[in-house]
Amino acid sequence: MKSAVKIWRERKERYKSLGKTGEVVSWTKIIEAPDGWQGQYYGVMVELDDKSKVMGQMVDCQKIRVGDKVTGVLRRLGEAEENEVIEYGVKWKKQ
Amino acid sequence: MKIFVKGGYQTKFGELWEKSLKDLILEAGLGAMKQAKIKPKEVDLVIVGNKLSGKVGGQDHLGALAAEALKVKKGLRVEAACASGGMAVHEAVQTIKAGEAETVLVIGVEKMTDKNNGEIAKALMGAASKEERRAGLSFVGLYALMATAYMKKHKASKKDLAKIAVKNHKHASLNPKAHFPKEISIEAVIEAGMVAEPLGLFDCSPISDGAAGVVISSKGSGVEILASEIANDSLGLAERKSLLELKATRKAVKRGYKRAGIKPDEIDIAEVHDCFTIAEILAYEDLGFCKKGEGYKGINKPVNLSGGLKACGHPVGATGVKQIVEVVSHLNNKAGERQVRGAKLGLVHNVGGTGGTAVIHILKGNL
Repeated sequence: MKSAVKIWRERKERYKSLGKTGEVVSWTKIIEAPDGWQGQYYGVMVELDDKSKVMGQMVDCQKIRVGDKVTGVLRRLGEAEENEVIEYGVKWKKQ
Repeated sequence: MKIFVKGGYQTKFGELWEKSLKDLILEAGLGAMKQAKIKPKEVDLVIVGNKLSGKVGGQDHLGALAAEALKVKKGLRVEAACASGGMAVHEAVQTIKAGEAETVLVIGVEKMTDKNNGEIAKALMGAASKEERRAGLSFVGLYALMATAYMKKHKASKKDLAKIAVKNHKHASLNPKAHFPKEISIEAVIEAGMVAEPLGLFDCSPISDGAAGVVISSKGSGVEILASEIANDSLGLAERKSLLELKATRKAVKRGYKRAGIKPDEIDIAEVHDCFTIAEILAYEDLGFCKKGEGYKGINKPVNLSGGLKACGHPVGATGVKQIVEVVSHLNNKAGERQVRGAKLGLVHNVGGTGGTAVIHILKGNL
């Protein structure tokens, strides 16, 4: 069960990549997803313009390559069960 | 002080529907004590290496459980993700060195197949960083990120990765305790369905049940533990400089070689942490068995004679202990059909997570 308090507590770091831009340094296409997620989707490591790196997931993406330029956008994360908090966070979109 | 492995035992690895976690602990513990020719009352402490039991089996407190089941004085449990087994052996060595015990029984155990793959994939992600969980990544996915980066940098192919799986299955075909004791073709590996691109089903170690036990002691003689070293790195991949190496492995093995007073090319046999095919390639490079960027070409050293995590199976807490059991059997010239002739020095490499923990043991036979 996702805790609303936990999600609230994480708000400072949870959205910190929102609107930032960077470049894909590696990617994978997740076919078999862990519980709480629906495959298929692309998982990426993004190097931000300040050279720090973050993990994330692509949205609206058919094909991906190392070097693609991306921007952090607000999206729903994973699947929420009945009576569960819907979790939001940053995903990545090609520029 | 010299510290020895007095005896070891591995249960069959696989989908063991008829066996519970406790059954596995009992079989591995009693088996190891029998091999070491000691009785429970001679054991000062039992250390259990386990990752998931609390989360997926609902059973915590494995130190008390094992001490009661095996009639040993004291017990405790150690967790370091997929390196829980190796870490338990390391803790046994530390306890003996500190003078708090003479003889320690170590059991690595995991019961995984009562749950479906999605539940296990989620539970395993407890070993990763919060950001990685939030990105919906799986452990296959995290190693796939390393594989993508490695293949691009060194122009390695899927076939190069597949060769690791084929080799380890070939070894497992001689190991009746293996989860998959059969050979597979390179085409089967390459054509298998994807789990997390570029890693397919046969690039991945399976979800297995199993246990292994070893008796570690400062008394008498046996296979000597020349070095027991651990090192850590960031939990998550994003905090690392490079996706092309496991720094924890490099740090631990450097100290291990120094302590043992040996060089990588003196190692006769190794069990390395091939949770995914790419991981064995990185291990060759990080352990100094070949130059950086050349691991995908293969090496000229017997590695993962048990079948590795790939084909022997990967009950996560059991793996690090099983690796020691395998190497010790070769150093004692008791590995049967798999025996590496004249093996004197062995290395064991156990990794937690994507390299947040690495455990290295260097072992010397006394034949």
